Amino acid sequence: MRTIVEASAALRSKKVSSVELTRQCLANIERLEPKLNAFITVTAEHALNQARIADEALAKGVDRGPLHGIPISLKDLYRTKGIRTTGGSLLYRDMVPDYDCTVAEKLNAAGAVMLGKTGLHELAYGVTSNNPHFGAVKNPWNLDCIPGGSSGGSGAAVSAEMSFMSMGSDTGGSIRIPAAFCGVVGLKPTYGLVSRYGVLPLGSSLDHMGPLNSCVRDAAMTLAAIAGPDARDESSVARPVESYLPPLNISLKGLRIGVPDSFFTERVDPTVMGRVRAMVQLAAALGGQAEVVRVPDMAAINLTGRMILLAEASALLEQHSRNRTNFGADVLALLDQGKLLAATDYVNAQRLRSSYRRQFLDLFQSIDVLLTPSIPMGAPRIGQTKVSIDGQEEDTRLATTRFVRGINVIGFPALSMPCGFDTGGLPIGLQIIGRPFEEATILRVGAALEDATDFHLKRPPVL
Amino acid sequence: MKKDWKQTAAAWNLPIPAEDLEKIIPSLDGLEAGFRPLANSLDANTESAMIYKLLGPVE
Repeated sequence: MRTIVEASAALRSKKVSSVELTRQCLANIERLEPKLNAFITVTAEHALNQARIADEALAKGVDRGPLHGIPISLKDLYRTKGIRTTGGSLLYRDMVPDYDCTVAEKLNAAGAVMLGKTGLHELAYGVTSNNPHFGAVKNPWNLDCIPGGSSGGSGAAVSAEMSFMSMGSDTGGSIRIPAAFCGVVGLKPTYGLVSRYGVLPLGSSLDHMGPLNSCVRDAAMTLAAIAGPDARDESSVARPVESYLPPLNISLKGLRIGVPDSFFTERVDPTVMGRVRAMVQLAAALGGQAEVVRVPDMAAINLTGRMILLAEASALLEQHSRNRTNFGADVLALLDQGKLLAATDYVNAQRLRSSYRRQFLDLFQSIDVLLTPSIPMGAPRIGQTKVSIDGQEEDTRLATTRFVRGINVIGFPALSMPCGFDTGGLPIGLQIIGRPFEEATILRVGAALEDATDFHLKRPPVL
Repeated sequence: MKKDWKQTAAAWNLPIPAEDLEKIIPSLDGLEAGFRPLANSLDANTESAMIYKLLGPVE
């Protein structure tokens, strides 16, 4: 049993208890943590207590919804009351918050059981999760490879069945990258749909909170539990929470699927491109209408995103960055770059952003979803600073973020889901991008493709 | 004209060691080369995505 869909049904039919599910996850953590280093803090006692309470409530007929009694974890960026929250950084190594972030509050209210806090790239500022202070998180599909980042511990934990769901954050791809590299589902909701309150920020106008799951319907159930307006988050949007859960037997009839004719097809591992094309054909076979589209200038959007993030992150961490010993070398290099940018460039980047958002809204007048690879290649090895894609060498960080970063700039929702394996047996991700606040559409497309394939059922060798 | 990052760091009194500064210059040069034409292409009517909105009742 590895999905919330299965576990939730089993809990209600009394085939399993929350305590049993929690013990199953804790046993996997105990067995695999020495290999994967997916967690910074494991809260076993706290989890078992919550599980007992969840079982007692269910026995009394109190049902808090699909996450009731489900063991989950949170990236160690989410403030949790009374539980250490490090941000993967020396700055917060011993920080024990006296309040829960909004997402933790909502998950508690939904009856979820918190197993612990997952590892991440230092301060969520990077894509490898090779953390100089807490060690490298490993990829369950190949222990020599990165799980991606920055939510690498969350990707590894879900992939290795240590946790039924794990919350990540995504500033330039940090949910979708580990989802793709670890062979799980990652959802970056529309900016403003899920509260950022109480989560350590990196780039406030780019930070998105979302889950990593074992299947698309689990992502839909999680989103319903964590979405909603929050007066404590200035960017929160007042929209009612929908039922995002895709139905069974989905037809994609009438759905207009955009297939990019450029950028997302360039410098891509041929196996990755082949798998993405196969998924487009599958979507068409399910009734979708695929059409080739010209996308806005993604290279320019990525540059704009880099400018915004460098400036925002350096501003946020300015008071701490005077002590250079607080940071690993890669994060320090980014913080230094941000300090050297002019305020005028940051403002102009935000002006360009308005224009790109409009261009994407125009594009989405003729399509309902855009299908692209999540990442141009499979997971690189730990410590690998350059990757070679289709004969061309590229910086690992830039290659990894190439297809995902721009979507943070425009704030649209995007899902990464497993769509096959590369020649080395590493997972490949398909990215499904939708209109703002149309998470239900991308989840429906994802579920339709998932129902017709079995990639999400494959288990990593570490198990 | 290429930006002189070392001069900027010195003028702004940024305590970045010379060795560290040297390492980030190629990345900054690349960003500058790509970003400048984009910034120069903006027209005056394009507003920032970050617009301040006064919320609540105005007295």
